[in-house]
Amino acid sequence: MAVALVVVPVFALIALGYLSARLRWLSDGAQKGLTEFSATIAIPALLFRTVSSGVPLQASPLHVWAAFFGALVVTWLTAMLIARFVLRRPVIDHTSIAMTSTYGNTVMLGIPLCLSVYGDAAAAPIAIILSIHTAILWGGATLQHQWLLRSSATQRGVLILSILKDLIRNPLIAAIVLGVLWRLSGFSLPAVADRSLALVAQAGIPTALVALGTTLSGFAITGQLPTLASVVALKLIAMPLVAFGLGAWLGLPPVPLGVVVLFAAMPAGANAYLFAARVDRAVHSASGAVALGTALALATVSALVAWLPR
Amino acid sequence: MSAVIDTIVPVFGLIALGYLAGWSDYVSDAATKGLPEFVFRIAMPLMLFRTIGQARFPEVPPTRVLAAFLGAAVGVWLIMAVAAYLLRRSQADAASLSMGATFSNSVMLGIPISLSHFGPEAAPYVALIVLTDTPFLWLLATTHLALSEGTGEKGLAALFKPIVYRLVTNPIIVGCSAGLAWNLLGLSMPPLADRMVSMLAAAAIPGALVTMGLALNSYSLTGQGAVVLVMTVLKLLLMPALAYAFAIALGLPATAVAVVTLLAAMPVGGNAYLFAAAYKREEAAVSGAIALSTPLALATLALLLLWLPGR
Repeated sequence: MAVALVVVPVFALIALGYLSARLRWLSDGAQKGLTEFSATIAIPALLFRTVSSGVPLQASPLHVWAAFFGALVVTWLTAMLIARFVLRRPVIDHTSIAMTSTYGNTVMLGIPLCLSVYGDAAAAPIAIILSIHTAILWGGATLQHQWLLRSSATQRGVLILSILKDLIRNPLIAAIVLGVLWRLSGFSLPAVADRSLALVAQAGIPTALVALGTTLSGFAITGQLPTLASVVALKLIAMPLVAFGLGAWLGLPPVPLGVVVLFAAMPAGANAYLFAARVDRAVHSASGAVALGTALALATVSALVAWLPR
Repeated sequence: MSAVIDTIVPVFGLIALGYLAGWSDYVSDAATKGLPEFVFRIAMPLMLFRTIGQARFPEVPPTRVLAAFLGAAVGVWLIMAVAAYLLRRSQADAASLSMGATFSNSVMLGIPISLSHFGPEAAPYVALIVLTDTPFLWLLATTHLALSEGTGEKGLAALFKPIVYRLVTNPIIVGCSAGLAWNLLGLSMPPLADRMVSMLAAAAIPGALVTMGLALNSYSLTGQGAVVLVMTVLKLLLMPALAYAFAIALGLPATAVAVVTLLAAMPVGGNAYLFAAAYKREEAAVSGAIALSTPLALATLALLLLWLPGR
């Protein structure tokens, strides 16, 4: 029952957003506007506040990274092998398929879920993973794709620079960096400033979930069944299990371990689709993975939350 | 003192945040349009439903609370109509100006401030006023306009029909009414549903305040200085003074007096602009009154809260 009380409302809010958009209770504009408010104002405020004043990380950041990104690399390589030898997709599709198998929706679903399950103690491991998550995935995927396309070194240089620019302007990363600096500085926010920040931050979780639901209304379960089935299974089952194995082996305490596993268990998000659309490879499977993955995640995430040590 | 700062600073801080985010293009126009949809169609109605549904109703006849609040509105309405005549405005324009001088920003500003300052005890009074002041003032404004302009061939009923339809389908009003019904029936929520509603409700107040700030970018301090100033003074000073006097005269309990006065002291609300725009009457002046009264309310509301008894 405790698991249901935590996990079900999270997915119910997503369903509410989905239905609101489908039944036209919210207009098309609401999806974009709500996502913007959540991702550039409310969630950054939430991250800054929890990172700057929350519970410190109870493990080495290197161990958290090793467990999460180790699982990511293993899943990535498995996805490449499956695409090559089982699905027999052309080489040029591989990056997109690997991306859809590993790039989980950490922000709009991962943050609300981990904070609901573990409370503010989840903030530190969340920040550790998020601080390099986008850079590693976008950077790595872009480089690999360009390499497969055999583009020149200057083209790659330009791409890497544009990714770095995006990262510097990313409000989530700015919030994490500022939060860490604020924490190290030892200052504490005046009570009334903290109250204001808390007020903005409290909108973060509900707006992220409803925004995610409205975004999902634009995705259909499409794509070739074998590809779709393998990317969803890799993302929802293989990646969290590998993350759990690595995390347990590295001796992570329950909260960082739980965040690593739940982040690894997040279904593909709009960003994975965005990559597929940008390189125009395996786009239908990516759309299908976002839609089907998010729906199935209710079951896989519930099982994980029930099973993980608390 | 510190309780007032604790209430006022976050409220106006979030409004300023929304204003700056819109003004600097940190968020796009899509956010300005998309956020209010979520706030006023989902989060705020559910928050009101939950707060009112769980509130403990005081033993005060609702008619006396309403008499104090709506009485103040009617008083200010008439004074603004006379002022409009002195400022050489037609009575059709005066309908719009009176709406501007009496329509409180009760949803975006009144609800956040009264609930955060007085706590859930304020909820029943807030609900009562939010439920009645929008219909009452729209009907009053439409009647005023119809009397001065004539109703044409369609008659009064045709004029009121769209208003009535808009009111009964207004999610805020539906949320308040459902909360009242829930409360009177003495129902209780299953824990799962309650958790879901409370998660969404958490976004209502911050969402409304940031929306308010974003929306302020679209109102400008144009319009004729004298009219804008009269509307602002009537709204921020006279209306709360009248409401307080009526509330005391009617012997309302302390919390009711405080809520009635506070809601009467809110700056001009966006609905007044909607009315002005719908009938093309004095839009510039009403827009100016919103742009002027909102920042000034920071000072008048802070003073009022200092003087009113807290929770």
